[in-house]
Amino acid sequence: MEATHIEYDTMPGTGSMMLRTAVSRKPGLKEGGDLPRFEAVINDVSFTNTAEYQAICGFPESAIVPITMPQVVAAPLHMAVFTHPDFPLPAMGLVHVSSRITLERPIRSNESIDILVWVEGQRPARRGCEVDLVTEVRVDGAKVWESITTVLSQAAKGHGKKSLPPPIPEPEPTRSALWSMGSDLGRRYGTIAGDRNPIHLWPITAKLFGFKRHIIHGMWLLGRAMAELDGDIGDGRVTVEVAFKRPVFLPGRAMFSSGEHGAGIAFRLDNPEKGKNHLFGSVKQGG
Amino acid sequence: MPQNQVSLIAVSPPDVAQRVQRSAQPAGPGEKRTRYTLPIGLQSGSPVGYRTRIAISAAEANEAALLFSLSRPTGFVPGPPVLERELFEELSLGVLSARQSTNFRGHRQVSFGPERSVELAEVLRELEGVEAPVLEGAAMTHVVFTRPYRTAFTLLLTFVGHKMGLNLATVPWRAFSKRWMHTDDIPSVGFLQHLHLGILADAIEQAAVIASVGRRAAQVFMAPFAGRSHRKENQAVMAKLHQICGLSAHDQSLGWRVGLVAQVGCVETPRAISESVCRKVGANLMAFRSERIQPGVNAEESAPAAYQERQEMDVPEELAFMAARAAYNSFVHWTGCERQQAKDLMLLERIDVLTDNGKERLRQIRKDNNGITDSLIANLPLWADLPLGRALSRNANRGRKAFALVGQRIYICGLDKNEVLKESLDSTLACQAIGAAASRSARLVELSGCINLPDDCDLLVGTCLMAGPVNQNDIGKQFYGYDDLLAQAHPTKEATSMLLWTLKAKTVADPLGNEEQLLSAKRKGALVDLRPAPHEVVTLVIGGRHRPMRREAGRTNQERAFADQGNFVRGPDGAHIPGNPGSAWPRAISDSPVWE
Repeated sequence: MEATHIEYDTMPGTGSMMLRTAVSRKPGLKEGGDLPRFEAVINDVSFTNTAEYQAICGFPESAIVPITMPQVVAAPLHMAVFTHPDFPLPAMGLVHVSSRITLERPIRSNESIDILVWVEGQRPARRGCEVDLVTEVRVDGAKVWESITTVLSQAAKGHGKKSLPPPIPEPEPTRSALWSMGSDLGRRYGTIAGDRNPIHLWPITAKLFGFKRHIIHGMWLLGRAMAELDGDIGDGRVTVEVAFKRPVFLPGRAMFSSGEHGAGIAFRLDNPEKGKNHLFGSVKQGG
Repeated sequence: MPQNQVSLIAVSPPDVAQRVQRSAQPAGPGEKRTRYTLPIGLQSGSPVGYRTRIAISAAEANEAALLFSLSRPTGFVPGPPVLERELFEELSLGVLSARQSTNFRGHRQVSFGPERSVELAEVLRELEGVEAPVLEGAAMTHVVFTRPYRTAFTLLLTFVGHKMGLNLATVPWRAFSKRWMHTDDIPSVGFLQHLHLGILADAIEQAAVIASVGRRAAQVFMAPFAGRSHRKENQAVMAKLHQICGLSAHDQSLGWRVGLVAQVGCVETPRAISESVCRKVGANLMAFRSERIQPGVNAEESAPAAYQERQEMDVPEELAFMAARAAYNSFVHWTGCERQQAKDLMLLERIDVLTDNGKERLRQIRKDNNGITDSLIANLPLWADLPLGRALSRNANRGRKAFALVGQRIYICGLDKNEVLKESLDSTLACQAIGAAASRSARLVELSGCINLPDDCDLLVGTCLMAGPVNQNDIGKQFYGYDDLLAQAHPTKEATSMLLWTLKAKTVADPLGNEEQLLSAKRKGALVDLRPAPHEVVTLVIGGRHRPMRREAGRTNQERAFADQGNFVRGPDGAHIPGNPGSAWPRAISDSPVWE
């Protein structure tokens, strides 16, 4: 099957795509089938709400764009790919399992960026398949930022094999702080990030999709973690890897900790009462 | 007034066999968590956290000794702007932690940068009765507000000391006059506000030096805002300060008023103290807390073995001498009186448990205070106590524990108001100076207890500043015909006791559960308040805007001051208590000047 190429002059709105997500019925990926390439492009995008994004994630006000923000800016393109009529996997039910973000150099909020997003192919997982959504951000033709977002879809046949989960690093913490998240955090973040997925908004809207309460966006958790790490990250080339394990229900509390681990910094977010892990990851400089 | 030089005195640890430590363990599965078990986590905006004392060498102690006889600055010189991190650390040793009662948050602070400090200096020059010159060139000015001491204890006091039959009228009248006229049930409750302010004033002077590694000093003005007559004279200036700081009419109706103003600036000759000593002292000051338990003397039956055995340790006489010297230094410093005058005015009774009559004297105090509690409970208005399920009498009974006097050295301190007036001193200022003196003395003792602190000891000497026994005695004085605690030691004076402090040589620190009550919202009880986060009590005036300190973008402080010293309580396996080490404030802010 041929690649699907979508090009935008202006950032697409997400309202209609959200609706399409809710009502469309997709067959999923047939056994032996491959996910063809889908890509979406937009050029000359400006950062419009950097201060609001910095504020909600806890970054200090700065002319430098937080490392997680391009992902949020590119989110409508991600939606466009996942809700494209020819995209075989249903967008509803895609689970964000991990991300790898590479920042080549700090991006200033007054720089305009070109964004290219694509998916191509899949990997079988235990229950379903994993798809890598790649996002590239360029400034004047040079790649300055890239992310690989891995999502899990159960609308494909999995390999069914159990595998040991990767060990969660337990570094000697140089930071250990408890976060309190209010019930309205998902609504406030959703407004800024343009992600008003009902599972993040209200308990009742989340219940419709099988959650006991509404949950905070994974990208907020990652953004907040990066804000917490602050100067530990450094100014040069940085690679962030994160695995999302369990959602954080709202209102809620989570214990963030980080410390040196191997050649970088490991961080994790745990439930302070039950000790279960919400996410863990690492930050590496240079390379 | 010149202060005498003090030294820190090392305390000898006991034999290795007698050395015990807190060594708190997490509660096992299904086991009830108590004050002796390790907390499971900490969520706090306070810079304090669960801390441990760290060892200092004798040489470092010598260097740190200057902190206990600081003289006032005579002028400020231009210097680098104050970094946010420096301000945080200074305030962490000051308004955010200065030894206040655990259940009382009685201070708030508004801080101004160098430009507004010029304007404030002009205002301060209008004050009558300033104890030192108002200086030019301050890098910042802190205005501290204070309010009357009001807690669950003072709520209980509303019902105390009324006559049967009249109490239906006198209790509501007392409640009304407390709320609207800020009268106190008993005089010693009124002293608490002043004692706390004195403690803070002394802490602010030390904090400025420690946070700036000796480059800055604080010029603290407390006298113009102290006594009624001074406040009347300075009414207009105080009103100006209230307006500049944005103190609302509602705040004033609750009794908030300016209590002291501190100018902080760079001095021409920095104090001779090294950065490493400042860091260690700062981290230790974060760790000091009231030590109430003397092992083998007043530990609960349920306490772990470490608290049950007596230790062969004593507070060295030389240390007691230096503690007294530090106290007199402070009293002289804050009142401006001569040293001999200070010795005459500060009425002290020293009770040495291990020497003649010490135990008898303690028994007598305990017996008197228990008698007062009995009378108090017997006279509580039933119409209030019964509908509350006897909560008032239960609380009064519970107070008995708080009045226990334990330690190898116990000092009761007070004043004779007439003698103070004869010396033309303001009695409120003298009361503030008593607070300052007691806390300076306590800090000297506590830091002394860190000299060559062995790894197998939590501390070598601890202190506890207490007002509870004094308040209880005061209830007896006011309503049941008892004599003042100091009456026996000073029969020719009209003594009013105000505060007492105990010195305890020991190696095991009090249980963490005591601190947990201060720091953990989950453990918050009726009598307990939480130590404040910066944004709760400190307002920074930047570019004309009043902003709570360290509340940015929906994020508030979780940094622990002097965290680089790593003196955090750990579990038996060496693991941190989650949340306890905190997380540093963004460097982009903390490494930048607060005021450009």
